[in-house]
Amino acid sequence: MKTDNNISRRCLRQALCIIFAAFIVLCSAPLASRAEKLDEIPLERANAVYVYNIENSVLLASKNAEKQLYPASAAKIMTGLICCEHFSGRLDERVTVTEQMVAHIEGRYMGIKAGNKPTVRDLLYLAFCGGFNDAVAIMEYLISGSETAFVAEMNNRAAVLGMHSTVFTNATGVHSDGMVTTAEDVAKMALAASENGLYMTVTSAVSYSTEGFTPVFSFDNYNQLISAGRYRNTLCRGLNAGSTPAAGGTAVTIAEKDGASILCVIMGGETDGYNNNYTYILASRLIDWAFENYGYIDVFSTSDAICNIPVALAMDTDSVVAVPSRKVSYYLPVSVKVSPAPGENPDADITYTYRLTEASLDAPVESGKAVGFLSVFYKGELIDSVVLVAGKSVDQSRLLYIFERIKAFSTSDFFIGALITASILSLIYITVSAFVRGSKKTGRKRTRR
Amino acid sequence: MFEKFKKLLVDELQVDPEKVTMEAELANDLGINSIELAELVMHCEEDFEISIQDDDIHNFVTVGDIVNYLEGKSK
Repeated sequence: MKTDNNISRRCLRQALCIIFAAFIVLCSAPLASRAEKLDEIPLERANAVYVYNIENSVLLASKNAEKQLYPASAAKIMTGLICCEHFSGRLDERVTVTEQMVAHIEGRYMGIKAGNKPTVRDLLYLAFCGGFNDAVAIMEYLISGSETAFVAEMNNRAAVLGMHSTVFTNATGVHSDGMVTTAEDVAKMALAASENGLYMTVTSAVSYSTEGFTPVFSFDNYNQLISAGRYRNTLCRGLNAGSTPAAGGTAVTIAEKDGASILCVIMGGETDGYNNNYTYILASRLIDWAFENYGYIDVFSTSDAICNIPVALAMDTDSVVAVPSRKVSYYLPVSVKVSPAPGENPDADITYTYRLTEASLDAPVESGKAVGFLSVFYKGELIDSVVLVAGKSVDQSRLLYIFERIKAFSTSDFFIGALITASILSLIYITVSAFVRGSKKTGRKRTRR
Repeated sequence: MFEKFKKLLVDELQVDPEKVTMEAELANDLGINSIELAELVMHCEEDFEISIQDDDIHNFVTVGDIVNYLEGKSK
């Protein structure tokens, strides 16, 4: 009986574990169970929003993208890019911290002291995963010798990246009235930073434990879209989040799914500066919206017949299909309607026309032979031009070919010319012959007389 | 507490009130995903003036789990 009870208890425990695991899996699934429309997402809970597909350079949603706002810790994206470029390949190097390096620290800090010997890796993770400003101060001193010089480098890089509405006045994002940027500029900076593998590795870490401090200091990513808390979105990787009372919440991240990467920038999001941060929820809802509502739309495959082209001299057919030379696929709203036939169609978002280089072909025709062009339009604007090719090979009929050659020869100018010449010569010959014959008869009659 | 939490679910997450019972599973029965759960927790913290630890959120399987948790925290 006791064994039975144990088995029942074990079964119950296993069942509960399975239910719990299933719930965790379901709740961890980053996609919304019901597709949301953009106007259902409360964009009013942030000052600026920028949602962008990276592979196709398509802006999917934006709000106040060009409005100058305080960057908060989004400024650290530029700092991180410069630091990761500078310290690349030197992660194991030890740095001896001096008084001067940590003399003036504002905002969130770890408490690094003069005499500490962190590795460069420690500093990078502390600064850009943990968001600790003392690690930032040490690196800006190591790279430029002073915060002023480092900030000058940040502004130079901003100009190079075309961030024309951005002014940096410090490297950490601590509030300063003169430091401004826009969601669009932050997106440009984030795109540049996303190409730095070290920066993305550091900012994508869920947590980190230092190697140059005793005791070891462990911390979670300050960006709660990445760390293992309530706002975690498993599609997100890297970049930055934070807040200041003046700026509100900022979140900058890249989410990846099904070969598409979405850059999401939220500025001035609602937050209490601690746990309740609608900035993260807004980011995740916009990311989900982007993945649910945009995707690669397969308009034509390489086997789709665009039109039939008449083929002469063929053995067993009188036409060949023209097909696109490549797959025709675009990153567009998944709700787009593709016109079923060429020409204008007010009910369709994607329409197409085609032009053939020849109205008809003579066999043999090789599969893949270029036969024309396909023009594809999205909402009336030309978005692509694709070469049309013969969809299959068409063999020639020898008999039809010989008839055709005979027909062609018999209707050629040479043949007609030769025929006319021969006719004229024949006529002349007959005439001359008749004349000569007539002359002979007359001569004989005179002789008899 | 149940009625207050039910109102929160209906008002904030547009959940069908007919489906909200103590036994209803948040994910399977009410279709609440991880983002909505985070939003729900945020609303609970604001409306009930409590703090919910992230580790505790993983134990919320049914409506009853959250209602019982809120009652425990409110005492």
